[in-house]
Amino acid sequence: MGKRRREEGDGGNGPSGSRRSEEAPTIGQQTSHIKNKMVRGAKYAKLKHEKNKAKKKERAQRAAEVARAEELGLEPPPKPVPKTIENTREKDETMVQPDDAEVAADEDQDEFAEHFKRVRPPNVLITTSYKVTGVAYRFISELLEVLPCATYYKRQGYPLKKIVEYARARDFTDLMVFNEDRKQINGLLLVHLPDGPTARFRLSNLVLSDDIKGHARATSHRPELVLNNFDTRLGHRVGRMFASLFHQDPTFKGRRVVTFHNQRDFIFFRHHRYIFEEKQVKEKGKKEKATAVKARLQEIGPRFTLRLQSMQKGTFDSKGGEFEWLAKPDQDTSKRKFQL
Amino acid sequence: MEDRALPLRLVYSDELGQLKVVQTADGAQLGTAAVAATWGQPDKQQCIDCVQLGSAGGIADTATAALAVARCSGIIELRSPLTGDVLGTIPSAGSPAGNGTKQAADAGRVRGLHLLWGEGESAGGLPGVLSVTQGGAARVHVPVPAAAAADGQQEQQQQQQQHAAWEERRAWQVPAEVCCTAYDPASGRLAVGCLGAELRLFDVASGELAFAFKGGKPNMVGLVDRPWNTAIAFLPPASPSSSSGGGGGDGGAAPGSRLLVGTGYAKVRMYDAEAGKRPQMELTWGDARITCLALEPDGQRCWVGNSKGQLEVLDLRTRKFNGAIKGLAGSARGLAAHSELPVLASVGLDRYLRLHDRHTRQLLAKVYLKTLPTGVAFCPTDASMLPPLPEVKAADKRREKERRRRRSEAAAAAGDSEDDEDEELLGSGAEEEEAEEQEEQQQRQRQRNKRSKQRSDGKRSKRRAAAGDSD
Repeated sequence: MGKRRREEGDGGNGPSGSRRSEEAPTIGQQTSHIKNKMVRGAKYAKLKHEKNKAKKKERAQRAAEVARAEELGLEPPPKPVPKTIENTREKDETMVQPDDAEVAADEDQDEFAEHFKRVRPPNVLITTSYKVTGVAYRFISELLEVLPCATYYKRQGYPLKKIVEYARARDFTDLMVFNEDRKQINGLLLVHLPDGPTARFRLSNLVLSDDIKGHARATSHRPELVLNNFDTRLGHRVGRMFASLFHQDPTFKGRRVVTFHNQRDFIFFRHHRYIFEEKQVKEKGKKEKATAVKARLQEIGPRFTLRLQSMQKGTFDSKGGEFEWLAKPDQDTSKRKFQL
Repeated sequence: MEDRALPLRLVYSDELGQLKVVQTADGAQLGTAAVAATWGQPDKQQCIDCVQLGSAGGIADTATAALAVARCSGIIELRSPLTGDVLGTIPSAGSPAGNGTKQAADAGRVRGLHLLWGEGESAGGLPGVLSVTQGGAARVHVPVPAAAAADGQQEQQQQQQQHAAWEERRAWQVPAEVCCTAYDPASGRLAVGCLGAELRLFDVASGELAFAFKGGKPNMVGLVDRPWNTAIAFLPPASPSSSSGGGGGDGGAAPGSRLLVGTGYAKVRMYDAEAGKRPQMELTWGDARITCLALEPDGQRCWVGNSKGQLEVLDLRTRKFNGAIKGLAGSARGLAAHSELPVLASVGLDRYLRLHDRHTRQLLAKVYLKTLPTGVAFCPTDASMLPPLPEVKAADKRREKERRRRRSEAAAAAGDSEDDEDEELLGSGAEEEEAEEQEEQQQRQRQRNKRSKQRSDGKRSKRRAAAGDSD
């Protein structure tokens, strides 16, 4: 079968060949039109067996090629890259290209520009929903260790718009409001001050430091920040929003890292410290041990996952405000389409 | 192919002070919409608040087409929508006491901008400009005829007199905190919707209050919403047959008395000055602020957009919403209905410009414009904007012939009885030079080659048939 396919590929043009391989019918598709179950089953088993055989042969062939290349001291053939949802992601034209001058000019003048120009150091106000229980206090006390520039205020029954006013008047740059429902932290509202934007996240999978095995304690150094995969226009905006919670110049001496890792629109928050250790390593064939530098990682916590629900222009105003982006059911057309 | 439909041309204004022109190849291929030009440099200080585009003679009149652009500093520019050249500049209204604060700056921002085609047509066909600032200063400017008097040195004169060529004809005060305005050229009335004051009609010719409406009735506990009208559209006068609803204004053939208003509390109201001060109809739609309205040219339906990106059409005869458009991820910032084609243009805070069919509500085109929009308008087009037809050069033709010959030989080599049919196909194809056609043909050819191969080895072809001949 493999040979036959190759023949066909030679006959056609390049692009048509690849198109054909994509559209090759699966065994199920090849047999589903047979109505008799016995016949269909037999046919299916036969085709499956053939396919497995071909696969096995291919694998062996590849292994042989690698072995031969190794023997001759040549470059081994490239490893086939498996298809994942990430690398088959649907193309998104809002993906920010590094050489896009217009987007760069836009971001140069947006609400976060002052933070990135180091004009306005971050000053974060953290508060909660109206009624909270112990878990919120524990979580916030851990979060205060993550964010060295944050202050916690009790909610005291104030409406959010009043709090925004208050925080703006007192030169806070950001406001974080955590929502608690049935003794679980389940939401985060992040407001950049003074002119927005406002982002609402769903928060899930919260694990506090104490529940992480072998966790470390945070130091008071300013953490480093890692933002992964915030590539689209909306992603850039969310990434910049997270970045504005942290100082622009971390104390590298502290070796503390906060990570916001975006994968398939889920944002994973992690907090680690790392260390470079000199180790005595014994090399093959040598008597003395050599010193090698190794990096080690230890989680500090907490860890949680965020998912963007809405991005609103301006400060918090859920009724009258204008939304830049809103999660809607009609956006989920494909599992390979992502927003961030 | 001679009578091709005119292309669509749209002007998109953004928060960085740029104007972008989106154009399609012609009226039939809306999917080709792409940015044709960008005027201005990205600068937030030049943010555009309002944009108004019009011409004296509708969508086909490119000669008088004018584009008015209001910057956030309060300065209004008049541009040519075809070339982007600045034709004139109107200075800002001048902020009241308390200069320098953010509030004072906001008071000078323009919230309503309209072109008056009746006044001042002497100056090179330029219209008068009616502007309303957020602080409530309504002004009418007309171009001074002197600019056009000297035909020979018109260009020089215009450049010299760019600032002097506009004269303030009238100015009056409307309620402060203006959110939106609408102008009805038939009656010369201006409708002003504000935060904190109910809807009012002003007579533009005299600057006097023509009519003051009231808000909705108090609710069960006797409370009323604070007035907040966020979108207005004038409706054409009701014909006696259609005003069967509770309006009772069967004699109301006067223009400029019926209005459709969207509020910040997700209400759509219809007012009729002939029938009364209270709204004649009130509907709750969605759960967000209504940001824009676009009336269809026949006046029977109106598109409504809100700050959550919902977009739906209100049928004014049945007074029901029927037919939503999906796909806007962010707040609708501007809507424009084409006056001849059934096309609706929408811009949203998701930074896309979309074209939809007004009847089928299908998406026709979608253009990513990178910046936050503030408005959109259709621009008049003429036949000179059509791209030249792709002319096939002689050399190209020869090459094409060669290619065909080789292909037909290949088909012959495959050894099949379908050869003569091939020839026919090729013969008919020679008349049409479309690239698509060729592509299709190549595919057909490939398939045929494949099939012939299958036939040559019977055993395998059987397996292939079981596979369901899907390729």
